[in-house]
Amino acid sequence: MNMIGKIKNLFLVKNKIIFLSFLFLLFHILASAETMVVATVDRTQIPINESFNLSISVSGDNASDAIPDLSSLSDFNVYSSGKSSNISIINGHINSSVEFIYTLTPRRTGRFTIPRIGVSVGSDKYWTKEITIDVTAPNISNQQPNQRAKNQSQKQTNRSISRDELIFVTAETDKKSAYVGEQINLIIKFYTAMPISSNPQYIPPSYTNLISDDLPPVKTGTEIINGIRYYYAEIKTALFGIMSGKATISPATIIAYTQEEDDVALDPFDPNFIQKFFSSTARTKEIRLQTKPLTLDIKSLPPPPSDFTNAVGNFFITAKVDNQTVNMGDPLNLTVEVTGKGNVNSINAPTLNSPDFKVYDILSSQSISKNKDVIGGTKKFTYIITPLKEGNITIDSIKMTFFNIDTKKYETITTNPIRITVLKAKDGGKTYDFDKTLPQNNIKQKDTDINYIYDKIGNNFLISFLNKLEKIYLPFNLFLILALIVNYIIVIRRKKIEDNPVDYNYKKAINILKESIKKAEKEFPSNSRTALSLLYDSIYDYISRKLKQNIAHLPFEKIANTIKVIKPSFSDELIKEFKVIIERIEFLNYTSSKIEKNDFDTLIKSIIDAAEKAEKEFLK
Amino acid sequence: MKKITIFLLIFYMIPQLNASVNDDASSYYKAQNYDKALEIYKNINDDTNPYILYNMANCYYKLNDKTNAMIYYLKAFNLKPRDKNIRENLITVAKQNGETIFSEDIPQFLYRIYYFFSDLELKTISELFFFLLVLLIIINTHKKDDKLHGYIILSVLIFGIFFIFYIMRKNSYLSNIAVTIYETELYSGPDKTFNSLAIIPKGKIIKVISDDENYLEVGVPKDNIKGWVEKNTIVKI
Repeated sequence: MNMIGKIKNLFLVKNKIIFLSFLFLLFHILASAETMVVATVDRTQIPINESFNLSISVSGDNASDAIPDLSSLSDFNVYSSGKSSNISIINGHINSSVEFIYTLTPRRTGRFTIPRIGVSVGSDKYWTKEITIDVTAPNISNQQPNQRAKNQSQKQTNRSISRDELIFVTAETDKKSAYVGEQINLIIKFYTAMPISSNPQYIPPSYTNLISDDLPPVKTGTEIINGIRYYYAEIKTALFGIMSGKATISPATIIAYTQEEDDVALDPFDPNFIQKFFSSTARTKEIRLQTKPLTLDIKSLPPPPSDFTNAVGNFFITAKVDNQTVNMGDPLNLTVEVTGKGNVNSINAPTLNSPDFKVYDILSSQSISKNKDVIGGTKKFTYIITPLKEGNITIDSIKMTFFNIDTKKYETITTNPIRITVLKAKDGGKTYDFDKTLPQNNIKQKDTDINYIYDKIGNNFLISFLNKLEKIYLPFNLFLILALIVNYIIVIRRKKIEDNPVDYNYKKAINILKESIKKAEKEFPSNSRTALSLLYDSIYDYISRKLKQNIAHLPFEKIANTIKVIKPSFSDELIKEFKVIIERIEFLNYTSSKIEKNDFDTLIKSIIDAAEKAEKEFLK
Repeated sequence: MKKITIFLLIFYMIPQLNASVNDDASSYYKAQNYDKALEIYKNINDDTNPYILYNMANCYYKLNDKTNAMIYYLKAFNLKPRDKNIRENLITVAKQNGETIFSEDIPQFLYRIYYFFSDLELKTISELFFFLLVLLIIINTHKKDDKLHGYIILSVLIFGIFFIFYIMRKNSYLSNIAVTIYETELYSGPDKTFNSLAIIPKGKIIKVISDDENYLEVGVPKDNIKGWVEKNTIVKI
């Protein structure tokens, strides 16, 4: 392949990598674009006598099903401040987002953490991040009490004040009777003239035949009653009657921590009156206060007209479409907004009576407001419609009837008609089957749970065996490493022999001679001739190795000459000694019928002696 | 021979004994008497059996002790990571504890491949191929055979793959971990007198870095914090 070809190939490979990276990135983005849960606060540092907002935003396909669990917020009193949801439809895909707003009141001063809040969305649970909040001492400008109150107080100082007068709680409603769906405000007020170590804990009452909605923020301040100056906290709750008849409010509980001493009333005219309420003391006493139960009369609404939408309050209505010109068969989003004060939550979608349009689905979202203790807001209905004929057609006015709480009468409000131009269908028109997004016969999952236990314990033999085996891995590995080292040494030695066999034979001549002698000893006395023959050969073999040439075929005189040539300093006597040994072997081999053990041992000894002397001679 | 027979008999008998005890525990679990079932599993006292650990974790879960449930699921997962029930329950309980064991950004089948073998199995396979490799090298030294070269290369490759895999797993997210059993204070040194850096909530997975007498050096990689915690506030997996 030429160079250009190689570069082209490189480019192809590089492009593939870029493409795969892009796919991976796309996958990552798509995966992470599912459900997102974020918690934010409007302040991270607040005085103890104030409150702050915590907002939990949930976005994703199933955001409308989100349920936050705020049970872990033990350091704060939590009041629901509103919920707004939003639904958008883009190319038939429905996206929703919900924002939950809570008002939080700290219970103590110090640094606290809003822990990770779990938000259940369908069968999944998502978690927000932790948020740290610094709660500081109360921040109230010192107010000088007026002289009249002061005088009044001085009159009161002479009488003894019971604990029940120093700390108490009241509950009252702004009305004793109301229509079904009409707002009633419950006001719970906690008064104290005793210093408290923290903000009181509020346990709301339970209700029958009423639905409730918190009305934060908690109002705090000071009030003089019978000459005693009190610190108060006021909690309001909006209530709505469900059915005509009696409705009850059970007692609400306030838990406060005060100093243990009885005589702890503060000077109401102390300039640091508020600050002293929150002075932390080591010895605190828990005081539980309860409100009295309340009963309300819920009146039924007058007989409603057929198009009554359950709305009780005072509302106005608007309508708009996302597109004034559409192709035949294309979907259109008609948004109807109902805004005002009242039970926005309970409003049903008004009916669309336009024969030229088909309604596929109605989606709703809402934004609740709590201005000046009045519940209201906007409920948005999105009608997914398609035109049934071409040309200029009109979406008729949409009527909505509600019970006006101010006039105590039913009122009907209408939207303006909307003109739409419907063009011919493109490519035969598209078909949007919204019904497919809401299959009717699917399995409805009710709950999730963990997988069941193993009734029968599987065979654990392998894991037990491996666990036991693991204990010998270390010594076993050391053994294997040792074996490798030994093997390596053998390889090195063998290589050395292979590289220079003559030198190796020269060095190992005496060892080889001794091995041959051992073999001969084994043969003796059973095969004494063979033993002699082995000894004879071993001597010639030894000398050959030392001389680095084969002398086995030579007569001894020539061997002696060769030794002298190679090693001139070699002892003549030792040469003679070798000659005598050889002659002795030859003698024993040819003459004696039976070789005595002594003769054989002496012969071996003389061979070894001669060889050892020869080694020294060769070293010279 | 006699000794081998006794050894095999014991090896065969232990699972049988456990099985009959497990039947009792299963009956209690079925009757939703989770306390009693857990007590029986605890008495079996077999930390090497992933199924018993899994069943114990289920009992803890049903008793609403999500921290211990996660600890036992993690122990079972370490022994048998390819078991579907263990894996699924671990994911569920970890999620409920606010932990993510397997990132949803990564295809789950990759996790299944990565966690197919347990650490012990990976170690054993590596050992086996290391032994085979040494054996082949020694044989090759003494008996020259071209066929052996192929086997040696194959053994090197398999040993290498499993050994690298084992090392990677030893450094992975789920290796060398502990779970906090209480809300735990994280100190800058191995004593309470050092600065308190953070409070680790109960049921949090932390990475063990080193060991001291009464303290452990740990890290929370997700939050990028490191410090020392008291040993008695955590359970090592």
